[in-house]
Amino acid sequence: MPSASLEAAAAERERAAGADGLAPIPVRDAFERLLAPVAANPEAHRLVPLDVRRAAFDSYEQSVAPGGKPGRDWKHDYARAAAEIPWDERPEGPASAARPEPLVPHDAVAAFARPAFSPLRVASNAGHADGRQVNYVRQIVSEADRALFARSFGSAVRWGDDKFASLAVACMQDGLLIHVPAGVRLDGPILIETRVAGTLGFSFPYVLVVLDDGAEATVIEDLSGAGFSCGIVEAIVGDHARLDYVAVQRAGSASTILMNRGAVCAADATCRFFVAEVGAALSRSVIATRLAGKGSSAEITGFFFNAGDQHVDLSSLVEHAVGPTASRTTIKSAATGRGQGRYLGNIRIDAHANGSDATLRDDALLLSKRAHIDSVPALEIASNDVKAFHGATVGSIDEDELFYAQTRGIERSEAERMIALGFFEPLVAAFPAEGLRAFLRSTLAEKAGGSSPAESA
Amino acid sequence: MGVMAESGLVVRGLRVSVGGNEILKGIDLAVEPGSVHALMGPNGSGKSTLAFAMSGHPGYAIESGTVTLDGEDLLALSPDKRAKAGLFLSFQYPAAIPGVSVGNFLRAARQAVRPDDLPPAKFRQLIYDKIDTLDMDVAFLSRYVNDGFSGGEKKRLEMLQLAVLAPKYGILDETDSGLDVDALRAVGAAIAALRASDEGRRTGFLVITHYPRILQYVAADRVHIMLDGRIVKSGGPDLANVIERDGYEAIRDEVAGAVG
Repeated sequence: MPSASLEAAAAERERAAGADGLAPIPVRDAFERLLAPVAANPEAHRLVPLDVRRAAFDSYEQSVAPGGKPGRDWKHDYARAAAEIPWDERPEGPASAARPEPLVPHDAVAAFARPAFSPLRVASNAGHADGRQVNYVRQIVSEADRALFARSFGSAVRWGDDKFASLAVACMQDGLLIHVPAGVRLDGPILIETRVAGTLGFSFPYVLVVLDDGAEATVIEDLSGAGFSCGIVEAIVGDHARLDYVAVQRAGSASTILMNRGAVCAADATCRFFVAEVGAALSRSVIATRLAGKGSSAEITGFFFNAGDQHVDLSSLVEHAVGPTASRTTIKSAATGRGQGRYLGNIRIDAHANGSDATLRDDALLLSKRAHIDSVPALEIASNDVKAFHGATVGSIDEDELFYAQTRGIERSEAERMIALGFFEPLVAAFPAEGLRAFLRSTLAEKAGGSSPAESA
Repeated sequence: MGVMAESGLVVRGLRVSVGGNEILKGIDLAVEPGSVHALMGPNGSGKSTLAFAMSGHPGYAIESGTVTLDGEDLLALSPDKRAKAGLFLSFQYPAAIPGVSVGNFLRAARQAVRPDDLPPAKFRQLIYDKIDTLDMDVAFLSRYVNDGFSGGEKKRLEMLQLAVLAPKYGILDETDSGLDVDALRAVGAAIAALRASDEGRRTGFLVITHYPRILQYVAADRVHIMLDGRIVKSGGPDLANVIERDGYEAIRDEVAGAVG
């Protein structure tokens, strides 16, 4: 890139960021430059037409950044993060960062870490129990897959309602499809590796998971690297189908990660989201599940642990559109150092969703004087015949627990660490895949400042 | 006073206040190695305050006096260092630590108090042996510490920790309260097993209790009666029977009569 245009881009960023850092960034010119390959080859990138992208970009620019008070004003964080998108970096060759060890043994792996708008890497694929080899994981290219995409797009994540989901659609790179046919139960997990790294610097991933009636699968999304990532995951879970979707965000400390994930559940379907936010300077994670079919159920299990000056903003929404349906949302968060966090938990029970049963529970643990976590649960219940429970706590480590551990010879700092890790343990234990649980335990232990506890005697 | 350190868990002239109120008004007590002392008294007499103050609870202010363990000044030490010096407190109301398994907790505690003295296989064997003595199930090890435990299970876990840590001195704060006969027998067996072991032969005990019945399972060498923050009477094991027969009021009247 000529240096003149680099300077221009820098000046543009500076100007657009404005004195208060709140002006919408990036400016449309930068966005148009990003879209140049799409405009040049619309046939290859017609998942989202140019006019939809431009409309989505309008929506991004016009909508308010999520999060004012209470506690802290997140708008500043988002404005700063958006201002730091390296829009004008052009990918040259493959990403330079080494691929981390895969989180878990898996049946299939797809990777988003590559220059923008080049084919997804689907390194291996799912093998079926009966030996049949089926491409469950593929880039959305074929006519049939495009039709599936067209039917599903926007149904699980209503992107127009959300500033960063709009940005993800405007800049969407090619999509990944995980499509499990009716009745097929996959043994091992499918691993999606999204690596924000190297010369790329940013990514706008899109993942569509479709489980046909009676299908069962576990998908593990591993978000690593360092940079800016803004993406969407949509899951369509068919009658009697069962999806476990795990998102592990372990991006580097300088990263900004803005993800919207959603699912729609048909009759008797089960969708369980597991979210582990253990990386990134700024992460916003939105999870929405819509229980659209009778007898369907949802679980959202998530945690974050913010050390240093990390900020995590986690939102969940479960919508009970019909009844009877059941949901259980369990969130735990901790912050140490100057870590900041917020959890917005929503349960919505629609007017005719009689017989719905919803539980929302979140607990926050503050491990330093400067750490801060806001917890904002909200229940909207329009039906009479429902069971709904919510409970929330924010507090520091219990002195009685500390004293108890100390009387057993355990030093105060070690006791604090042990209790903090114990705080998360019941959630970690609920995650699928032993290798993943081991990774999460050691990552949390690192954040708590020490080595991983050994396995039980 | 010679250069020889005084052995025993020794309390001298201990005054302790909580929130500005003096609870302990000058306690003198010496538990010799290998001996069992019972400290009896009605509710509110200050028995648990003594246990917490000796263990270093931050909510208890030491106004004056000393507490030494085989000559070492305990009051200068943090609670964990007191444990490392050989003190153990069995809590009347043990705290739950959710998410921390009993197995991991026991290992962390043993490692803290007696670093690297047992290879993992031997440590595991030790735990299994003690669990057996206490008539407990190994499934206990994977449960979270005191989380959702019944009263009896909590007390058994206290005794399991006592057995695994084999301290020089154990303070048992109302370990008998709320226990049925079977659990009480298990507690007695755990203490007997510890005292019969090489590690625990010289362990001294301060058994704090409201009722004399635990002394049927743990024979006391000395019995002390505490009323209103003072030890008002000390004697042999028979003193417990006097309490059982006449109650604390008789002692109170006797003391008041002696003073008056």
